[in-house]
Amino acid sequence: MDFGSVLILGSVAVFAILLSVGPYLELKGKILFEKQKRAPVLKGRFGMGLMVVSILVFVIGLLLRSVLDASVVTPFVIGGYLLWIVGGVIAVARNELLAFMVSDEEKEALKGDHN
Amino acid sequence: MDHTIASLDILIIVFYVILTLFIGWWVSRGIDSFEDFAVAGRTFGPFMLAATFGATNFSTWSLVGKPGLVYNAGVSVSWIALNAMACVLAAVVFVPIYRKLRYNTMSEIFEDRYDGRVRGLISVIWILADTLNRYGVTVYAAAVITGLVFGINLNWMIILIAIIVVIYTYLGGLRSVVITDSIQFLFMFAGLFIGGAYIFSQLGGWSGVVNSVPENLTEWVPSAESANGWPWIMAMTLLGFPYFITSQFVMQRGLAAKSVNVARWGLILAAIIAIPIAILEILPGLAAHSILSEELVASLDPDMVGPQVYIELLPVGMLGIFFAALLSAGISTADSALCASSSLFTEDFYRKWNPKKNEGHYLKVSRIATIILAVIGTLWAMIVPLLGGAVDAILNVIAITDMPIFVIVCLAIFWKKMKATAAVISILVGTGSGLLVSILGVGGIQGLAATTATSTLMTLITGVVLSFIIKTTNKHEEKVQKFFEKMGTKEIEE
Repeated sequence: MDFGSVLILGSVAVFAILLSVGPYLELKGKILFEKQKRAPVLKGRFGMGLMVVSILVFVIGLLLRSVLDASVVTPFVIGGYLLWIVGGVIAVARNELLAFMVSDEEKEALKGDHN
Repeated sequence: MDHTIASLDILIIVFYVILTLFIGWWVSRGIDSFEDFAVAGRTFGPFMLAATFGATNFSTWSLVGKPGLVYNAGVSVSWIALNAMACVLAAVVFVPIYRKLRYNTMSEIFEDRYDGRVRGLISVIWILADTLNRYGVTVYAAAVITGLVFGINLNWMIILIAIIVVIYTYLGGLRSVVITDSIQFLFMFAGLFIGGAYIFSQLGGWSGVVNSVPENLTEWVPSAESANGWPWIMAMTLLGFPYFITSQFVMQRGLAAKSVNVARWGLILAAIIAIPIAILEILPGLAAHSILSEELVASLDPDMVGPQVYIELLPVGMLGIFFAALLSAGISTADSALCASSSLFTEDFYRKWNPKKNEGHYLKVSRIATIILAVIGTLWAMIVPLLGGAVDAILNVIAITDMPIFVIVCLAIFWKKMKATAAVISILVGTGSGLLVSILGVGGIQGLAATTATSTLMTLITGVVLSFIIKTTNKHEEKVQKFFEKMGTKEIEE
């Protein structure tokens, strides 16, 4: 088997283990990621920014397929797709939120932190 | 053609069915209110959520319909599963909003932000879509293949599968659905893993698989001349947004997470898991070029290409796991649809007609609704063969109805000027124009892209233009202000 096959089957095996052990622990009452310990991030939302850039790369890559060869646009389309997920992981990990989702009280506290 | 399988395989499948029913009974013991039934008391963690999101997305069609499609269209078919990228947007933007508003069903946002007319209209669309299309057609698809394999009459197979789904959905509602989905997802993973490993060993790994098919089938982004070209990929990606972000059918799970953070990570995990699944799903279709003769493929129903590859490849025992995976895929989609429909009916219609009953009463109603809707969906599954090409038509109609609803939700959240009357009219205009484009066959081989673009843009344009034309009332302003105030409140610890 080549590297691609090992990567595909290996990732499935890893996810299978995660999705066997994880739900078992959850049924026993052990829930991971339950609390978000970070304060909401409104400034420097890098994750959300990366998502915007990546979706543009993805869409432009697809549109350019009308004039360019598949071998040229595919890396951009796939790259945009993967970066979109990376952006999402960063945004959720940093607790990035839209401004209207954050209460005035929390916004004041955030201002205090910045000062 | 002989599709019979060995006794050991049948034993594995029977074991799987008994396990599913046992879990349904086991988890039902703690269900005593409608909130338990509809959102499982909001108790789920990220892994269980990721499994249930994945199981719902991965339907019988993934193992049955897609291989036949891949055989002719190639690797680009994987963009269907890859539209789970929408889960990331749901995690980052939408789930925190839904969770803060503390909804039991997704349709509540339409009454909160617009009014009862919008909510009623969308609930009716969803109940019909979930009962007839997602439940009925999925049960039918699962019954076609399992019926062929076991040599059982199609209608009896439909009834058998329907009974399994109804029993555990009736008993435990979303809690049963999510927990059994987690088990079913493992069966699916096992089926895909075993099938993938055999295909790789037979054809010399991923590169061997790719080298064994015509070059044009290995393009991830084909040109617009191909039915699965870039406009189609764009449409498939767009259709993932209403599916994962605004449909009751899927987002019911996001509402059932233990906390907003759990829901966010569950969705992110679901998007990541979709990647290897998308690749494993296309393997049998590609491998069919080497493993099955052209004459055999030509003689097969396209839906049997995938199962036939596995029948040729897998030894006794492994085949049982594969068919249990196939049954799991059908059941986990059908149960979600049934649970979504019964919850919507109870919350959006019955509770409005009888508002002052206790939670136990609404639970009873939800269970009765589960049975009634299952009977309707099962009857629909039985007449699907009589409708001929109707299945395609139904799927297209649902694709048409989902985009307008997504647009209306986005306008509700991101544009304060959007009015309720504009929402009702724009949904009707968007759905109607999408249907017209679909019926007229506009776009030729890129018909799906044309239909999606039409329904989306017509909803958006109509909604925006009408909202400018319709006079703003004090009632509208108060409602919008209240809605945004609710979203801007501090997170309540759950």
